[in-house]
Amino acid sequence: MTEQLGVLLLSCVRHQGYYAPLIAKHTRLRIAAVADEADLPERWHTVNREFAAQYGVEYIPDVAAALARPDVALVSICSEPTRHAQLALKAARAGKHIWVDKPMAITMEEADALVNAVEAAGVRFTYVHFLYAPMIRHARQLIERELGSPRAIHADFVIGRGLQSGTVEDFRLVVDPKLSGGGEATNLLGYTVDYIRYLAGADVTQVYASMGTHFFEPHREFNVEDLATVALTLQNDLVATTIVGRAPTMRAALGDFGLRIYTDNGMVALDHNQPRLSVYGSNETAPRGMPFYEEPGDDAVEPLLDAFVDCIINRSEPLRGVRDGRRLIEILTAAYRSSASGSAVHVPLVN
Amino acid sequence: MSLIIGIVGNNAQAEEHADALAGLPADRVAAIRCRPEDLDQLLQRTDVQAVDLCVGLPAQTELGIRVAKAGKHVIAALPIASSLTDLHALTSSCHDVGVRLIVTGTAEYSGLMHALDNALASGQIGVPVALRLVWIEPANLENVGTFDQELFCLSARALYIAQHIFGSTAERVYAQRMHGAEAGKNSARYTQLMLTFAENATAVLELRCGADNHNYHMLMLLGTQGAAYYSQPEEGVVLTGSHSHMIDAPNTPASVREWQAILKSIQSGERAASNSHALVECLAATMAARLSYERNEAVRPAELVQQGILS
Repeated sequence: MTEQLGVLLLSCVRHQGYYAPLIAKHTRLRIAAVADEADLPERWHTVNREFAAQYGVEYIPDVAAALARPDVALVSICSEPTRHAQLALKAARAGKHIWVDKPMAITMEEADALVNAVEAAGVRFTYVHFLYAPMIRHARQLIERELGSPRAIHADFVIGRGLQSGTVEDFRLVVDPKLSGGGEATNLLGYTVDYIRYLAGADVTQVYASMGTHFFEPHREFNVEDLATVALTLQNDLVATTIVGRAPTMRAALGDFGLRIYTDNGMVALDHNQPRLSVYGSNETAPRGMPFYEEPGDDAVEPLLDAFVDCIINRSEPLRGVRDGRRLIEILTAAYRSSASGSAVHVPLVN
Repeated sequence: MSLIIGIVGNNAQAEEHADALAGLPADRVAAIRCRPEDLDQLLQRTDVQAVDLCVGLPAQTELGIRVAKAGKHVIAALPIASSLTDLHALTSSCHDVGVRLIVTGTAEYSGLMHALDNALASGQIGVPVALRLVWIEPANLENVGTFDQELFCLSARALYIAQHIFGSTAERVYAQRMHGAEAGKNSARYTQLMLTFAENATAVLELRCGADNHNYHMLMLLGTQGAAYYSQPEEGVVLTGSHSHMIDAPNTPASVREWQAILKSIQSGERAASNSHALVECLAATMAARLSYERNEAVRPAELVQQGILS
């Protein structure tokens, strides 16, 4: 029988409800325990105990003790975003492989420390991203097989129905900077920047952003953005834009998601609201289209988990590792600086 | 008595305008076609009240001044001029003689703008917060000669729409262009503009000309009370608020409605469809986009005017 890797659910406050069921049914994984820090609000302990009961495992309100268990090989970190990095640091230092909800860190200092710790420990690391979503895989195939190198990419990720979208366990996890680390840019920008970097095969060199609080009282109360518009310059003179955030209205099931890729040989337009993927070739007079629908996260996380388990077993590198996570934090930091100053900001950041 | 309009130019724009005028009652308007080199003969005709210039930039501005000085109304396409200095020269000439400068090509009469204007006026969208406008069309180089000029004109038209939707001038304009195989002769075929309005409302404009054979237009407008979506050629305008519904486009073609408004403007003496303030705002934002690309930095259109950067 194939040996199963023991997984420690390291806090179940945010999005563990999406990942734990996939871990529980994975043939190569086994949930070993739930753990979190002792000094937490009682409501978080309650959530953690519920997860432990659901999966029939022990709840350990002691991170060091839980990480010392020899039957734990991998941690799934789903705390408030502001605790992601410190929990991941402890896991890395304990020699555990790391799966962490996005963003992996809030500050550059946290991101740098995490890079050092993960690389020193030699553990496998990934954060949750949607690059395994069928629409992104399909777009990548079109680029590689037919359309050629992208010259410009545009990706929007705007969740509808505000904080009642069903994806937010507790609104404070999204709007209270003590818990969230920022507003919707902190929450969502990494998704679309990852799309752009992955499809472009190039990295970001300049960021220009404008963020505002337009729609929601909770965001206004905590003075964080609910919508962000960002223009990116990438290597090889590629350009990109992205609009991310949360809006009160919605057209598709979850919100507004769109992607357009301009290449040397045409354009791909993926409009979730149609829903349709259309290919506009340079030498064709009419677009080729196909019905195409999925929510961005649909069918993206399970293949990500499969691929990450393979990386752990085969000691190979994941599609997105700790240095990619650090780069996303750097771009996010640049976006906040640009929005505050009204000027474009170069990356890598100077300080 | 029929109004007689001289159409100057032999390009596609002149054909479109002639077709639109032919769709109006003959007892109201008649069109005379004229080559640019024959403009002086046209201006000598006392029965011609207005001249529609379909000659592109930069000729349009110089010919427009001659038309105004001949005492005839000037009809010209956005962005009217290549610089604020040229625009001022033309508007001054019109003002001094007492003729009107009437603008075409603003898209104000398109089905899309008709629907958006109605939705905004009725409060279904609320305050505009974020706009994404994609405008892709085949090249139309006969008017302007270079892709750079083509993009300048396309930028002006898109900026006019964006500023019309937000009801204000962009505070900052940030422009980028696509390079590589998409680049034309010493210029690019693609530009993207990011505009920041008051309260950090934003617009992203993706503009591409001459890249292939396709027309593609897409709009997403998020507002405080609702949102509007438009994709062409696939569908019409859809509003999303408490419930989604399609907005019917007007039955009369946009070009005919635009010319109906132009005739009304000439005959009634009312202000033209687009006022000079909006033209200055549009051209300042367009020039800011060009400057932003050159500087690789956001540019404030208002500062161009204040600092006297007019050309």
